[in-house]
Amino acid sequence: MTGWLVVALLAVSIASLAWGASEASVFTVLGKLWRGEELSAVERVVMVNIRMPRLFMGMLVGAGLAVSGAILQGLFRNPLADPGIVGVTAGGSLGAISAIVLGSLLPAGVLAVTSGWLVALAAFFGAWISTLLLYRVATRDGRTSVATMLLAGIALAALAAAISGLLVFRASDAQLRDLTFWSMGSLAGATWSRVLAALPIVALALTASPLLSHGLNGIALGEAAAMHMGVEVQRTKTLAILWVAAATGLAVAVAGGIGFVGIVVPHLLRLATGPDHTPLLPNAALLGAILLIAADMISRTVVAPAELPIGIVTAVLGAPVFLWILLRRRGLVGLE
Amino acid sequence: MIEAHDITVRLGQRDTLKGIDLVAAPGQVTAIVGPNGSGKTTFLRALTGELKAHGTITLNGRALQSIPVGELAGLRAVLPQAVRMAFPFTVTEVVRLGLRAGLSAGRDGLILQALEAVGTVDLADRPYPDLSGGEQQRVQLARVLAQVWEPVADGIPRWLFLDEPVSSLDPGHQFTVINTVRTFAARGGGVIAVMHDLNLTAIMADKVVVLKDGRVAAMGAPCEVMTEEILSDVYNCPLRPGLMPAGTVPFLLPQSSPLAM
Ligand SMILES: Nc1ncnc2c1ncn2[C@@H]1O[C@H](COP(=O)(O)OP(=O)(O)OP(=O)(O)O)[C@@H](O)[C@H]1O
Ligand SMILES: [Mg+2]
Repeated sequence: MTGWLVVALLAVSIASLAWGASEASVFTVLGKLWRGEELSAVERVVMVNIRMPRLFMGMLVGAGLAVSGAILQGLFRNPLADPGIVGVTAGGSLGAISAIVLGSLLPAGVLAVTSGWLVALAAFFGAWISTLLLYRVATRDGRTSVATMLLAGIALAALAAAISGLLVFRASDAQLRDLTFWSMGSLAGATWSRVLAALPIVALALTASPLLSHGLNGIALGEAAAMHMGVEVQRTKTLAILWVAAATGLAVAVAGGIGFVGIVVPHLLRLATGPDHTPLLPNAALLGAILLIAADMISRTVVAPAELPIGIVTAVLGAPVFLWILLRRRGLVGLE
Repeated sequence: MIEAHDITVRLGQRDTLKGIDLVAAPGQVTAIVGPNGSGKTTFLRALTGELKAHGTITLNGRALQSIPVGELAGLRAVLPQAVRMAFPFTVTEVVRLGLRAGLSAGRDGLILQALEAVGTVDLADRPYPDLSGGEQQRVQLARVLAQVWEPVADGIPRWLFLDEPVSSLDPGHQFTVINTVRTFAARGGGVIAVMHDLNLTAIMADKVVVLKDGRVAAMGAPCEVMTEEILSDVYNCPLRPGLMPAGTVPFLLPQSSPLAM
């Protein structure tokens, strides 16, 4: 399975580099390089500075969202859990909206330093702070209650949505346009510096992944059984929450609200290879990346030269799959 | 050896266990019996380190709290009273989870052997949530067996903690499981099992601990503990032991109550 996913990821990556609004295609570019010819300025800019960072950012966001979904579902022992549910996405969105509406109130010095980064930074911190808050509320004596955490997540999401609504209410027309576009997500803002800035997070996430697989497999049997099987339950939970906050914060920051990847990808993989988290987490990263790159290709070609927000594409593709899962497999998700 | 001294556990507003002492030896099956709510499960959870308890507990001579959970998983396995799984793992995958947690990780051949030990090989490829209650209980038992497959490792005995391992099994499978458990003990491992069926307890156990209201009401070999006075008092109903033809293993039949006579 993993091998096939790697092949598919390579294929979809090449397609994504080749396919776009401009004439530049990966095949002409590779051909020129092979023959030792100079690339035209347009080709270089389109390939190296636009499509490549966009491709890598798509991989990171897709992988991050899909694995976050799988981790949360393992932690909550419920295949319907999603980063959206525990309020992390809502917190990130509140951060981004605050930056768009209130950013101009910041001192000029701060604005100069953070220009271009303000929305991204704010979304990241919003996601992070909401996760910390959630953790404070749901954790007593070093133990996290999953039920409290879910309920607190609902409350936090409602609060964040209310404040966001207030901010939107006092936004100017120009700000409203920015808000609408941001809220539906796009990878158009991807640059090499942003991709590089995300790399440390990715490295940490990769190191934590095997530990998480072992812990989440144990937790599938219940927290007590996990402990008896040698799982450091509390450490696993802390790690899982931090993982999800980092990945979701990153996704919201660079691409706004992208739904359904976190819930559909793990579901499909569990149908194919079973619920064991050891293959599930890496496979989810691969399939999440594939789906997001494909969705991005659709989003920037279907109404070319304009772009469709990527959140619309993932919703159109993901929502029916999700409904189909619910119809076919009610027993699986505890609805029977 | 497991030594528990003066174990007291407070759950909610009241003391569920009130100063229990227990010594369990490897090579033996120690059974814990008693009425519903007498504290059997609570005691087992305290012994496995799952519940915080006052008092001292040592496992193979080491204080239980001082053993890291990772190492503990190689020393003992625990069967809870019931297990609901979050995802549709297959039976083989469930048993593999136990195998990976123990010292025999990687010896995948043991999965079938563990299933065989509980008479459940035919279910190997079925999804766990689809199984009947008794089938699920057997699969969990196989998982636990796979975790501590060798009863003795490097000269150190390993332990099985079982909460009602045969309560929902048919007589044939009860027999299989009891044999497996006895074999584990005979090969040097230690077993502590919470039981309800007194007749099966008499066959299986070397030592019986009778709990009532969070205290030890009696402790000893089955034929010492399973007497009319002790059991009738603990269970609050007339119970008179007979003896199996061989003359050593007691069996019990509830007597008709005075009102009915
Ligand atoms: N979390 C809890 N909070 C408060 N009381 C509890 C809790 N867990 C158990 N108890 C109480 O402790 C007592 C002992 O419970 P325990 O589960 O140990 O009984 P048991 O002997 O295993 O019973 P059974 O034969 O029904 O399995 C019961 O009265 C129960 O109500
Ligand atoms: Mg019990």
